[in-house]
Amino acid sequence: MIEAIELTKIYPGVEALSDVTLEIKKGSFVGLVGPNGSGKSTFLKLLMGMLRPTSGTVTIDYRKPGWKTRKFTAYVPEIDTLYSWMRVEECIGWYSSYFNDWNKKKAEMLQSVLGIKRFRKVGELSRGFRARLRLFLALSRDAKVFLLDEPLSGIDPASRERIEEAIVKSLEGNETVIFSTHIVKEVEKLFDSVIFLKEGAVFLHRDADELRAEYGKGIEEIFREVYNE
Amino acid sequence: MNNLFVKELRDEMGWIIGIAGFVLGVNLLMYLFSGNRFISSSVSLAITSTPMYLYVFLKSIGVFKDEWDRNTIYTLFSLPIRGYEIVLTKIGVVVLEVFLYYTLALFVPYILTLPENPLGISLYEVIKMIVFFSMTASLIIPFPVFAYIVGRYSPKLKGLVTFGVLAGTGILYGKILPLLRQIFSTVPGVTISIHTTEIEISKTLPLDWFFATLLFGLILVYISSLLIEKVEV
Repeated sequence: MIEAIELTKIYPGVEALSDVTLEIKKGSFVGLVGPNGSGKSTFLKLLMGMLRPTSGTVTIDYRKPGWKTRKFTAYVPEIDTLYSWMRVEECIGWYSSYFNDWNKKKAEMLQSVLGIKRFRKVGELSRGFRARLRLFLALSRDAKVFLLDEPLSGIDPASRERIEEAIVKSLEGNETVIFSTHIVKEVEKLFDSVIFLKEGAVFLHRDADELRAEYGKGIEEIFREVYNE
Repeated sequence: MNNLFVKELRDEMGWIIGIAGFVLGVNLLMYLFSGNRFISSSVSLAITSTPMYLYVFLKSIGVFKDEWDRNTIYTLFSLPIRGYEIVLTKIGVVVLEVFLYYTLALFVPYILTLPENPLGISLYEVIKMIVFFSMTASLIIPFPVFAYIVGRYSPKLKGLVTFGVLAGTGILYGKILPLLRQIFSTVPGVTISIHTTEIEISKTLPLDWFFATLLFGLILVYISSLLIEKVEV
């Protein structure tokens, strides 16, 4: 489903991704973990076609990322990216109009799980609620691929629980999910496999259960060990 | 594309209302405080027209720059839309603002001076002027749009690159304009006539440069549409 071959991204003076080669199979829930600056967001942006590789290739469903692959790829950016002047209702209507895979039933379910307030302006929502809304927009789709970039970062515990619940309830199991995070504890149970990024390179890419068995500890502890936290 | 245009329109609503208020305000003030309605109409247009070119220039960059500054470009680039849809809808909303400005600047004085109509100008002539002035001002738009998008390819030097590309495009335009004008040399000009009891003006404005610039602008828009699909955010 997702393939990167010798993928490298260099920003002026910084090598954000270095020679990344990996394959992510269809239907797997992948934890993309690493501290800030390890290249997680860069990798997801490359998958969205928002960045161009300096060298190497990356494909989603055998296609170069671009406007065509966005038809079946749902993306949750780490930062605030919604139009603050829109009302939530308007934002949902506008965003959903671009996607044939928008699932109204799922949207209704997610609305209550995430506590989406439809009649408020996006700009008036708290940070946690804006994060919930971004996730709502992505998860309400029946997309083939979900790229979630640090959806728990800077979010209050109440919102985190809601977000986790929304992810569990909305996914059917046949979607490919890449969940980027440096907060592993709450979500590690969701991971089928884990990619550890360290200074832009893949340090480990293994099946989550295999890792737990091999190290005799949870992903969170392995994370601490790998990054000396 | 319709939804994108409606979004752009809503995004620009503050400016649209501002333009409308400004032009209407200037016209009404001139109408109320000037003894001569004829002059009030002309002066109000002259006063409000010069900044319009600067506004069009800055706004053409602003509609793109805002997306980056607010990070909403991530939302736009997560949608399955083509580059030309982004470029055309943004240009479309600036063109609309230009049309609104000239419509109000020319139509309001015409209405205010009825039934005397001291300018002696027909509604048809007013409409012709609105279209002509609006389209002429709109010809500016592709230049800054193209320069800004190219500038985004160099995030650290985008201001310098934008300026350089703008200057380069202007020079190129100046060089090939005579050649492009030849292509449209047979296009007849537009005649605008004003007949009053005191003056009689009938002026034919050539249109070869207009179509030549339009062609050049369309090429810039086409390249901009391709470039924006590859730009990094």
